Amino acid sequence: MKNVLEINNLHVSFQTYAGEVHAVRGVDLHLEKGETLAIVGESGSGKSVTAQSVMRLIPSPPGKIKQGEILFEEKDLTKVSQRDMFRLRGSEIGMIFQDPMTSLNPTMTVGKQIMEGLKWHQKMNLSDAKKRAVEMLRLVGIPLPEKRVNQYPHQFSGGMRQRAMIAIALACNPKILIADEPTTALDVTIQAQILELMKELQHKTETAIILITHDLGVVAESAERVAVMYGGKVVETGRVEEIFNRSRHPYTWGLMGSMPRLDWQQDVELHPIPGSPPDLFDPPKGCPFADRCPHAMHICHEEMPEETEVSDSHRVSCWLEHPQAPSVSGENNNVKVHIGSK
Amino acid sequence: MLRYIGKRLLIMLITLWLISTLTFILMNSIPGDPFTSEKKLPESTLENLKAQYGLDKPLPMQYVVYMNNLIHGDLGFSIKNVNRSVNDMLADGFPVSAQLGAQAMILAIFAGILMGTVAALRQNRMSDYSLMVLAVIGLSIPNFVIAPLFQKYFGLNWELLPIAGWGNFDQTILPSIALAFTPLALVTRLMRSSMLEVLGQDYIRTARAKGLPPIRVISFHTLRNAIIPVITLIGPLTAAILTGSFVVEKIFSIPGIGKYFVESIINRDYPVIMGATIFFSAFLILMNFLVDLAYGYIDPRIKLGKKEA
Ligand SMILES: Nc1ncnc2c1ncn2[C@@H]1O[C@H](COP(=O)(O)OP(=O)(O)OP(=O)(O)O)[C@@H](O)[C@H]1O
Ligand code: SF4
Ligand SMILES: [Mg+2]
Repeated sequence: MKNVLEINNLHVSFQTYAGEVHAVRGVDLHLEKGETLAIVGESGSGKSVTAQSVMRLIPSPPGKIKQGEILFEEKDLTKVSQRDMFRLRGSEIGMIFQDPMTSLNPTMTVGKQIMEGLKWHQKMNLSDAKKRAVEMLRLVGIPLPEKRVNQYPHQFSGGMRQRAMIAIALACNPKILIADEPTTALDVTIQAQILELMKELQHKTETAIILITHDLGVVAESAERVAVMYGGKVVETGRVEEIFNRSRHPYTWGLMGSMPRLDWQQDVELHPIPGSPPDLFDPPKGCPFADRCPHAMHICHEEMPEETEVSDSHRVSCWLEHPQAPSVSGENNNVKVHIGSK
Repeated sequence: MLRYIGKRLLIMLITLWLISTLTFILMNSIPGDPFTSEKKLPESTLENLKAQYGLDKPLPMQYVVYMNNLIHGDLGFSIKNVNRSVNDMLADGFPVSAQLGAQAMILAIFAGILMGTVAALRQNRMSDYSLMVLAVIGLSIPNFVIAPLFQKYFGLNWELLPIAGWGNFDQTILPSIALAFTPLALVTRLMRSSMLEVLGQDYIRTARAKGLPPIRVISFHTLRNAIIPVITLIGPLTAAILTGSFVVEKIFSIPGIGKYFVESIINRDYPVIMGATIFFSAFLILMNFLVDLAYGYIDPRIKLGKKEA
């Protein structure tokens, strides 16, 4: 099996005072060895909750995995014991977060924060762990690692902190790295550097990456495959060029249309998708995008569309795929995206 | 760092001088003098007594004399306890007050951190609610109410502990607890809210994402950061315990500085009032200084003596 991770029919809910939030409603995803899978979708679509479910880091209460399985090396992560999960987290699956300014412990040296996982997972002694920490800092491109290893996070810049976070996450050579908006909080130039670094490290370590982002430019640059999430569901998934150039889902079209592009003239207007995402307290029984979809048909409001296989790698959940549906073309046909270096 | 310490010491001296001057002025503006009492002393005796203590001179003169002695470390003689120097009284009382205060402080801080942590980890459950109710009680009942209640129940009714005096360790238990009561409640509440705040921080999520077991996450990542605000509270806590000790020492008849201080005010024993005030102030100022030093040590973001953090 070449999939390092397989998520089947995942449902996650949060119990709140206002009622139950159905944050993730039947997500299917898989991650192949050594690849980068990007998860895109607007705020609240369930990207982070899906990622946190893999790590079993959903705050609970109020959160709970209601249904489904998350397979990692034949183990269902929704079922393994707490104890096994402590062993997996950080050693087999690493995670980095959006805000490097707040994600590091301010009162512990960066070196110690890298060493911690090594000591715990690999039972390394102090001097070996320290050597490895210096090595990791060098690997993520931090100058003078021997000195930096003894410094505190506040002595690091934002970009360097995110590098340090990557060093922490990769210290134990995990098979999977989950990066939840790793560059959102950084300057554009630093963003590019961090993405470059992740790509470079991926080549060296063969780590599979789940990259969560809002930024389609980032996706084009660094991912092989994309999953588009909307209203707690994956509405379309495929290889990068399939999603960018041959997308079949109206929401994806909208997403492409609302993407700021460097090569656009100033006077080209952005088209944010009008309307608001579905109420996850009382999710619609039909297609979650129906209220905002310019092509919505009667059936869209009534029934959830089945997943259609467009190609081996390309799947879409939309009634437009139905043989009886009128043919509509994606308005992103004019938005040809140059797919990055791969 | 050395420059910083030097600067702080200078500021401490100036503060101390201001406090002693103010005390001098306030003390002399209270009507009456050390020799005001029920039975009238003959005019000539009074005159002699005043002359003996230098109280016949004009106030500015008295002030200069006092300050001069103070610089030489001489706090003068008590007026009521004839032949006892204030220095002696403070030296006698200090070990007693220090032990009582230290015990109360240690109790308040350690038990407070423990209880606050437990409450935070069991947020919105039974143990959290009970601890918070206790904390509110601790904050709202003053120690001059708690102390006699302790004496009545633990001392008289249940005969578990001695009700007063000083010498054996068991005599220190009730006053220490009575003195620690309010500070303990303060620490518990602060620790709870600080814990809750730290638990919600991103870096705690990072620590969990490393796969560290909860014990490690709490002891290595949460506690250390959550304790920082408690350390800043140590300054005000010292002040609270110090003022609390006046009452507690009096109620439990403990021969500490607090008891002397209260008596000296009742008796208008000027030199003792001045001496004790200056001593207390110096102590508090020093404590605050030490707390600042400790703070800089625990929180690496704080660089003492540098302008920006
Ligand atoms: N702790 C929580 N309690 C209640 N609801 C939550 C909680 N965490 C997430 N949710 C809900 O789950 C839904 C999905 O949230 P999620 O964080 O996965 O969105 P996202 O796709 O990552 O969005 P963003 O791009 O803003 O990060 C949201 O509607 C959110 O309100
Ligand atoms: S199923 Fe219907 S509403 Fe949903 S995206 Fe397709 S056309 Fe639009
Ligand atoms: Mg998110």
